[in-house]
Amino acid sequence: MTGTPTSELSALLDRAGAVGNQAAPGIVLRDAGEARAFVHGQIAACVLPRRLDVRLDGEHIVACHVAGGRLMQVAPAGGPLFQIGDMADASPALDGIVALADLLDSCAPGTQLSVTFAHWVADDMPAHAGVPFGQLARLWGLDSPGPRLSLRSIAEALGDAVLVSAVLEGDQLAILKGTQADMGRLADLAETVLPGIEAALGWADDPGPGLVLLGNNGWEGADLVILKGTDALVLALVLPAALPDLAQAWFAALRV
Amino acid sequence: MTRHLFDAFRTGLPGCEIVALTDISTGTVLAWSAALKWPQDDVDAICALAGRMLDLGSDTRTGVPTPHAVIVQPTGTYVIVRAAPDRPEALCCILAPGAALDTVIATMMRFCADLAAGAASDKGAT
Repeated sequence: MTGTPTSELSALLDRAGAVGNQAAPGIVLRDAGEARAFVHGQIAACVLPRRLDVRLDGEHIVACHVAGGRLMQVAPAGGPLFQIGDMADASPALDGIVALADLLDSCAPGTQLSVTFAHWVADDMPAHAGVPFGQLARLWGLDSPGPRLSLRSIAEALGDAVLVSAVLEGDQLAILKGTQADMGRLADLAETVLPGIEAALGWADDPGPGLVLLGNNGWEGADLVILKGTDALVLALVLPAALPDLAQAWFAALRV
Repeated sequence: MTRHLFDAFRTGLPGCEIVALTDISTGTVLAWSAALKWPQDDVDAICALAGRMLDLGSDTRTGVPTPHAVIVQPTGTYVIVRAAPDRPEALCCILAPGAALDTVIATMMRFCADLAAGAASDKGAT
């Protein structure tokens, strides 16, 4: 690792009121030119897993996102550090992100960072006490749609592990791989499980991406996979051994 | 069923934030362990989700119920494993994004088998 030690980031989060969880594994993901922290926001009784992405363009932070939604933009050195929605000031808990941003700004290009799990507790966010999370999410832009996924690229990345696949847009099912007979069976399968999945996961109200795998739920022992994009779904039957590759392709597509 | 078993399982599974064992036939949370302090309502919701996902279908040839389900979201991955085809218990984990999924399901199934074996030996001892 070429950048800042995990302990320093933990100290920053701690200083800002975030409570580090030292029992959890510290390093989750590393990427050149991109720092990624996984944090838990806890507001009232809600535990909210959040992913904080900080992108670097070699000299400056170009953007920070939380869980896919834009949280703040960071100007080049000398400009305003960041702004959050219409808020003039950051809440106390967000000072941790400012401190993190400061730290990242001083890192060398391509710095790789790792951050321990942490969570923010409600008491650290007095400015928002009593504010419903939905409102807070809108304020912070956390509910804005994430990046558009190339669902086809994910399906294609799996190659031969995909037995049958199709794109469902509206009520139109278009073949990506397979025969017409396969499509008929896939359509039947989708009709059986999709309403239940959509109800269980609240997809109708969530424009963000999603991926669901139901084990051994197709035929020939295959897993049924449903990839959700902004305005389409990809349905696929994949070999069970493809799960790690599938998840990897999905997360890679999210980063585009 | 002791808490330390679940604590040990969770801390041994990289990126695991919470593990819960539930009876999906009744919606009862049987045991759980988490890295953070989770409100009981949230744990109940995770277990309810496990039941709903595993009820979503079965193998079209054999009728065997869905053995596992995985929900991948930008902020984390839910992995739900049925303890056995004829059992109402299910194990649920939430893992950090990027967690290695290739061994998770097998590890969870082994843990379920260990729990069942432990329960059987407890019964035999009484």
